[in-house]
Amino acid sequence: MAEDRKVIRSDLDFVRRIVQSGGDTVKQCMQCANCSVACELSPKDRPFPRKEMILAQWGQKEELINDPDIWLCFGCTDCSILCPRGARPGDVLAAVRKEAIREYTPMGGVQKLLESPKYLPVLIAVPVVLWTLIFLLFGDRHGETSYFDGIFPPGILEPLLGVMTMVGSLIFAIGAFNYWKSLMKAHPAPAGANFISAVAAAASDIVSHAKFRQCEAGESRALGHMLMFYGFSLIFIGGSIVGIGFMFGMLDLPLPFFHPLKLMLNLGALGLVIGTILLVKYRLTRPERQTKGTWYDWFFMYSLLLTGVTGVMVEAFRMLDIQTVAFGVYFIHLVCVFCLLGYAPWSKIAHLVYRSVALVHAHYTGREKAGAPQ
Amino acid sequence: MTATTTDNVGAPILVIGGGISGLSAAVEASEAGHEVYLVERNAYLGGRVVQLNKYFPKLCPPTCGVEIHLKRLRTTPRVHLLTQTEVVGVAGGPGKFEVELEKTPRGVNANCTNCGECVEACPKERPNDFNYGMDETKAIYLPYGAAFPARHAIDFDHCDRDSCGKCRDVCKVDAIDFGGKVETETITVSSLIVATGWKPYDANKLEELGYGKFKNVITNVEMERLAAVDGPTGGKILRPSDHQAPKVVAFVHCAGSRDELHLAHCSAVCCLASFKQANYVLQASEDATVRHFYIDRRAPGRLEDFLQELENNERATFVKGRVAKITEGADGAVILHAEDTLSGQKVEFTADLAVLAVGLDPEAKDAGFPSGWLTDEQGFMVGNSSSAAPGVFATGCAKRPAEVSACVKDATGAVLKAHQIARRG
Repeated sequence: MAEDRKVIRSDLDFVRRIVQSGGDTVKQCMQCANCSVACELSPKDRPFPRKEMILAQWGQKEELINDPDIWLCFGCTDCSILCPRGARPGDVLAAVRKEAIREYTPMGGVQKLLESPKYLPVLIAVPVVLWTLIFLLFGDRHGETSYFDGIFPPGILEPLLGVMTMVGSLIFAIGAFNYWKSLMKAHPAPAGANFISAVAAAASDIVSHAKFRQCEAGESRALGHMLMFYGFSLIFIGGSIVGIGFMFGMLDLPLPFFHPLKLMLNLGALGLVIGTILLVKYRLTRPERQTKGTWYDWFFMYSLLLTGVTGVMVEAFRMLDIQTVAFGVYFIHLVCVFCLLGYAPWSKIAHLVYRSVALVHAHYTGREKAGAPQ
Repeated sequence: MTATTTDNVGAPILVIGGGISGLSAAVEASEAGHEVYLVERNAYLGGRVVQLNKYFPKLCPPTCGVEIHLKRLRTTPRVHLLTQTEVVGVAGGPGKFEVELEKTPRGVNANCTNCGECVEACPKERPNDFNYGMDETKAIYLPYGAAFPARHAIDFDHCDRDSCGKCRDVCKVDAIDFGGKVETETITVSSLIVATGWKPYDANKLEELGYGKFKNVITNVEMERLAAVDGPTGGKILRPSDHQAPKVVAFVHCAGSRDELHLAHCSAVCCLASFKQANYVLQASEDATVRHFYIDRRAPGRLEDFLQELENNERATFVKGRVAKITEGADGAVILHAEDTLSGQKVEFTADLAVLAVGLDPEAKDAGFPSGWLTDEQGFMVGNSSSAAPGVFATGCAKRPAEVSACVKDATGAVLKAHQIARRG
């Protein structure tokens, strides 16, 4: 029955990329499925990550990037801790997630620049040139106006960041749409599925961070991630409001310290810095058998951390009225902001979008109900 | 015994370990005309094999094969048998090794007739290591029914010696001796055959599998003793919690084996041993069922027939998936958690008894042998008479996990290598 035969074609390039992106141990897997049981989040029906391990070994790219389960993993690495072969399923899934981001995001090739430190000079050069140009073209180089609102005029900066955010959001929206379409084709929802309640359930998962707390074998990342997530959200939302408010002439910059928006931003910065430090510490203290960080991850973590730290420093120096230092740090801060936001659609930060889409899909198709923790 | 060197075969050969491999090596070397020192840590010969209930695949009793060896041992004059003796130092090289031995006292001399009156009289108990601690013996005990040397022994860790003296008082043949001390002796040998064998991996380290926590999780070696007529239950397979015959028995393959965190190697025999034990259960009760949880079923060569026969039994089922976790259910039931990888479903299987197929942990690993005697990462000895340790030959499970028949053949091969050294002088 030749027509019934399914020929499995391996995408060896895909396997190679998994191996190079932290999944170097993928071929250690002997399919014992210890991981599927070790995982508290894995559903009873078609649990992960055992099946993903063999799909990755066999280079089954299509199945993997359309597999919403890769996002149901929150990277607690319980599976890796208990893996009898040191195959690190947790890291393999992280590598697959990275590949999914590359696949669905427009201009996915940009991701290559984020995969190796050798491209770091390029990544930094872009904002350095950009901000230098803006300073040269629009800045007050004679120091007649006080502060960097003269050096980097908000009138230029805020609209530029606004445009960047909108372009980024558009790229994200296209990626999310591509991914949703692809997921629905591979795993359609059953009749009568309720989209609105799926969105609500996914939102509740994200807001509560409940899944982060279910790892058992290892230390929880819940607190660190929560602080970072809420800190980032406060800054992103607060910053956007400030930007819009300024452009429409409703706010004068810089804001006074006790302005509610300023308080919101400072609170966010505090959460971001503390949360990120906790996560960096977590990553640095994990044994390599449990998880081996990748440059792709570290670039994201350090961008976040440096953005937060330089942001706080700028504020401090400004309040201390040490203008030249404040200017220098502000320049670095702007470079960090660009590294964080400018490359966001291809970087690890994109998990925010793709994981959300996958969670909505999981609730929409009933996958997540099946996966309710026992 | 005196050495007979009429055949001019050189200095004696030392065999370390009196299990099936060492026993084979000793009788083969002796029958080839060599003088042999056979050193055994226990008070009896036969090692792990005599603790088994049956051999696979023929399901015949191990004492059968062991008895033949013992008969050969008894009829050859050239073996110096040293039980309760350990090697504590090795110097020299091929042709002339100086080996230091340390002998602990047995407390019972050769007058012993195994009448057993001392056991009746003895007020103290000790955990019975022959039954893996599942029951007790008196402090004076016969290791097992067919023990060789056929003589009682005293466990001095549990004996009050002269302050009690009850066994000495009842002994009619004056066989009891409390006064023995640890003695050392140095012997000169031409070569060494290392047959130190294995011990079952310590299941207490398998936290996720609940051994030691749940009564009805036992190991494969304990199962052998439960099934053996001279075992703690007289050959009835009863689960520890309520001494009832289990109706549903789950076999957990690779318990701590092929696992970097425990034993990284495949122990080669546990698959077949588990299939064999399934037969114990199925034969003991008409309505008992067994289920095997496995990663791979390794039944090489002819042994595949044994597996197929079990597969044909409708009371035996198989799940491809490692048991990752065991929890306890109601009334002492055990619940096994695994993914059935063929159907892609997580399963929670409730059984009356779970048997962990623990692997073979090489004794050579912690034997304190000279560092030149290379072991691999798992602690198995590497090669025969390597350049690092010339004149030292590992055999049997000291070298790699193997079933009995392979060990016996391997031991014969090791003897030939030892013979060559002895001949060269």
